[in-house]
Amino acid sequence: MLSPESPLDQVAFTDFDAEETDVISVRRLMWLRFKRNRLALIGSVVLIIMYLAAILAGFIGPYGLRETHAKFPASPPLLPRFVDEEDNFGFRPFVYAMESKVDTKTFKRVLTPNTEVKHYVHFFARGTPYTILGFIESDIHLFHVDEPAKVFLLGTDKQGRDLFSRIFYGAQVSLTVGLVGVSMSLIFGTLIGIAGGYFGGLFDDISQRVIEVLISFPQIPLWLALAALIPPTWSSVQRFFAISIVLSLVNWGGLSRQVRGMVYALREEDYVIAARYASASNWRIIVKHLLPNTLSHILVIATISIPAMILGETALSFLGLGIQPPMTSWGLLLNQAQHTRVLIQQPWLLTPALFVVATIISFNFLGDGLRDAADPFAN
Amino acid sequence: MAKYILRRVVAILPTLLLITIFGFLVMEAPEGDYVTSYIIREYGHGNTEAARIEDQLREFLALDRPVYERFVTWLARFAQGDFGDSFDLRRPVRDIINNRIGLTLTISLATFAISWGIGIPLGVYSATHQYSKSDNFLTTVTFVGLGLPDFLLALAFLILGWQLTGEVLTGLQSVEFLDQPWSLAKLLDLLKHMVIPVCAVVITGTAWVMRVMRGNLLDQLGKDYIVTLRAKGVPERVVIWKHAVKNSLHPLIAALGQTLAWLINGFTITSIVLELPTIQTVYLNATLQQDVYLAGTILILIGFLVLIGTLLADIILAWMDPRIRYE
Amino acid sequence: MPPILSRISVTDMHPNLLEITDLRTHFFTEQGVVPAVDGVSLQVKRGGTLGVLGESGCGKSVTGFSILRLVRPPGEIVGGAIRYYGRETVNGEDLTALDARSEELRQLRGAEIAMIFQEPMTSLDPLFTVGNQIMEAILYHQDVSKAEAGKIAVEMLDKVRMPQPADVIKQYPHQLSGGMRQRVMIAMALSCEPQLLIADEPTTALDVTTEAQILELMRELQDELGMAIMFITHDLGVIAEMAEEVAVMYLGKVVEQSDIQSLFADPQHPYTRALMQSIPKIGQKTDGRLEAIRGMVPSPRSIPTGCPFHPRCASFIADVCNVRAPRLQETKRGHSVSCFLYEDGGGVNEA
Ligand SMILES: Nc1ncnc2c1ncn2[C@@H]1O[C@H](COP(=O)(O)OP(=O)(O)OP(=O)(O)O)[C@@H](O)[C@H]1O
Ligand SMILES: [Mg+2]
Repeated sequence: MLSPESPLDQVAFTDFDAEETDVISVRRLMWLRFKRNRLALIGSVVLIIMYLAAILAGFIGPYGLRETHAKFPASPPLLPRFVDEEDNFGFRPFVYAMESKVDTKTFKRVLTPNTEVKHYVHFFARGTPYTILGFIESDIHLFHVDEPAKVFLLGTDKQGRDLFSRIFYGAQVSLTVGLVGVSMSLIFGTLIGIAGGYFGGLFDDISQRVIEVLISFPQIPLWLALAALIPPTWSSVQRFFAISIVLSLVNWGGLSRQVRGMVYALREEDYVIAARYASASNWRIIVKHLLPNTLSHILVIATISIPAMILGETALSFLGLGIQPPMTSWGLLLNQAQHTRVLIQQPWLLTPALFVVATIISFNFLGDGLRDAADPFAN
Repeated sequence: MAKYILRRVVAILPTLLLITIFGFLVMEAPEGDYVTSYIIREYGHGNTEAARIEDQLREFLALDRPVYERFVTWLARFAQGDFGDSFDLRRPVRDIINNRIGLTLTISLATFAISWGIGIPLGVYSATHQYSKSDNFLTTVTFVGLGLPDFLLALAFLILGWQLTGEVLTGLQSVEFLDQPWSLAKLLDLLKHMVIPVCAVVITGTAWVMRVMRGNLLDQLGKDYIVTLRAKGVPERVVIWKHAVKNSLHPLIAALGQTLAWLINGFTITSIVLELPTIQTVYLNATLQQDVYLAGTILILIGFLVLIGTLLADIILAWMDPRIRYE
Repeated sequence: MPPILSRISVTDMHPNLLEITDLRTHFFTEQGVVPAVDGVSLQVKRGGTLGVLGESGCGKSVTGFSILRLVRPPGEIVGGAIRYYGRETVNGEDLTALDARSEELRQLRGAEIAMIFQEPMTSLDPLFTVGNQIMEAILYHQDVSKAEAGKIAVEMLDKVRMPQPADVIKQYPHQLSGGMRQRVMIAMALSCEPQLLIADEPTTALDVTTEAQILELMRELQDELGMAIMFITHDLGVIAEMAEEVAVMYLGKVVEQSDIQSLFADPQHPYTRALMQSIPKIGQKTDGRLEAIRGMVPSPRSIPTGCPFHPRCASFIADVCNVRAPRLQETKRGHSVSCFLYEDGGGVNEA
């Protein structure tokens, strides 16, 4: 043989011409890959809109969270109209005021429109006061009609509360419970995962055993069992955090295991070994080398586990084991739809489900896009 | 192989103990002592006898003894199949579970069979036709399916069913058949009632199976050995079904382990919404009522099924994959 | 098993077993078209050995895959012809005209043209025994019973010098070493006595000793079975040892094809010459540096205009090499090169 090493191998490495190769940072590459994924982009846009709407709940909904309309319990949607009784079309939406009476024979509530006065829908008009993010006070609403007319885009519940307005207040809880829960899982799972992966030994063995049981155990019965243990005397804020803890208690295992796997692999990488030879402290190695390298994957895993948490909260509240009034959430709004007879009479009560589904699908799209973007083996 | 199985069986014993301890703790967790709440509840049912056997009950349950003794007493009885009584339903837990297991399994096995039966072929089709229109369509459907929680679907189907037929199809039997012996009419009635829950659960299930199957098969189809098979002139059908599919079953079989437990706890909320007479509904009510023996026993049962399922999955995997078998 | 000679009548045999003309295989990726193979022409002589030489990424494997029509989407053969003179010995049949999923092609694969791969560790299905996989190759092409196929499999393993072939047949790929797996691959490829064996860097993943054994084995089996080999490698040493003819590839094109003596004695293309010079010769004094080719192989996504080698070429002719692409032309008997230095009316005379 002429040479043990292939000459062509050497060719490729000599005289490296830097300008011929585009050196793109990993993060930019991820962004480029993410941008190509249309579904992931749609998902992120939908989510951004959802979160904005949740923050601006008071502004978007015409009525307050606890505002009841005593004369309109279980009212079907009362929508703005463009065409009046005489079939005249106009571009300004309006509503007729409704007279609500109980039929003395059937004991059913009947709504009859008073077609004499058109109540136009005012945009950016004053109405019920509200606060945004706890400190911005205002009473300007996206749209509003003057009393005695009402506008219930999605109908009302049996206490006569506007479902449309309440859905956005519910979003505040439903959309944050996932984030709070995931953050708790993240902290807990990452600490245990990194510790287990980096130090190994007995700690690793025990945590792995616990995680194994936790992962394979079905979530819903555990959620139910744990949620049933929350004392009924707790305030609704305490309950909110308790529910987040319940959700993350059941969820941290999977995350922790993945982090551990990555740390395990990274531990053997040259630069970590080099750092160890340079007698860097464990803490320094973890913070400077392991965390940054696992961070993108941790975020991906976190995003992927958010939908399950949102669904968990929805399910618990739906069953009456989750969020309690005066707070509300999508699950709690759906709670009234749990009884079949009610649901059949008032099918609009199911509309919060559309928001749940849209959110979950969007998070799934986003999570998938992020995962593909972070995957170093994708083309 | 036998050695491998033995090793796995021994390995789950500590976990088994862990689960019983956990279950026991859940039973112990509610505040107050349950003999008192039992007596109050019995009183509510008009049974004044209960107060008289209070001391007997306390001794039977070893309530005045330390926790670990209580645990041992309870465990000994549990191991003999005496799961205690349900306070709420006033019957032995064992009878309640026995009564419901039949219909629970009927529904869950039906959903399981349908979602896997549809999901696997569709997943294979999708993967072998990557980038085609039908693949894009199926992938989108999968995405939506995964985002639809079964209990919300069940609610939607319920309304739909009511509008189409004028019947509210909750439960699994119409009232007139409830205490009848089995007959063709009763069977048809059962099937009619099964449509909504099965459809609702099958959609999410199928979507999941399809997605896993497609993803793994695509992974496998990109591997070198597939090229070798094609290069040696093996027909494409055989390349896919005998080799690629077999290699991509791993995660599905691992999931099969959890399916065993799923059979008695899957679609819990759908069960409740549709008022199905399944173990899931009993479990939720027991949790709400703090009916500790009933809830605890079902929880432990689920745990056992998880372990047995995982064991079975491991054995199947070892049987299929020589790399595990010879490790 | 039908002996090879009975299949072909000696009289009207075409001298070449395989002729590739102007083959183009492109990959239509999301980032754009990758012309992995972009005008490859080469011939494999009946019973001879053609070495295909080229740097990593120049399209050697894709050429091999194209012959067996194993290129998968987003890859596609967009032009050229692959004439195979196996059964239809006079006119040959154009493999590019066949449907990739056709029964005709399936019968060709493995039986007439077999292939072995770069990565012995991953080229076998981990879930089936070695015996099962060799038998599969036999059963899909020959009309034999399972038991007979098993016997042939043991014979083949014996032929590739596998120790204890009867035991190995019951083993799974993960129980074998890389060298043993490559022997299994060879046994599998040869089990139907193909006329052409495409060996895609079969020894790259192996250590030097194992490599020598495998090369030795392939030469012996070729003598015994009389098949032709297309030997793909990036290793000049291996080429020197194995090949009678050599095709040198650069960026999806064959830039020079010749018999081995002529190539080593008189390398013509500047790329080939640069390759030869980059080998340290024993006894020759160097100033501590290897003579290497300037620059890097450009990415196949951004292939230079004109002659793809011109940015790195020592004999670059301005306004010629970067404008037009040269054609592969015979400069002397059995030696073709694609370079303006040798083209009639090319740059040499004018410069
Ligand atoms: N599936 C694919 N998609 C896109 N591009 C591809 C694909 N397969 C191969 N290519 C491109 O084709 C070119 C040639 O690849 P090929 O595998 O033939 O190289 P090679 O000469 O065999 O190199 P090596 O010595 O590394 O095996 C590469 O640059 C690669 O980028
Ligand atoms: Mg290659």
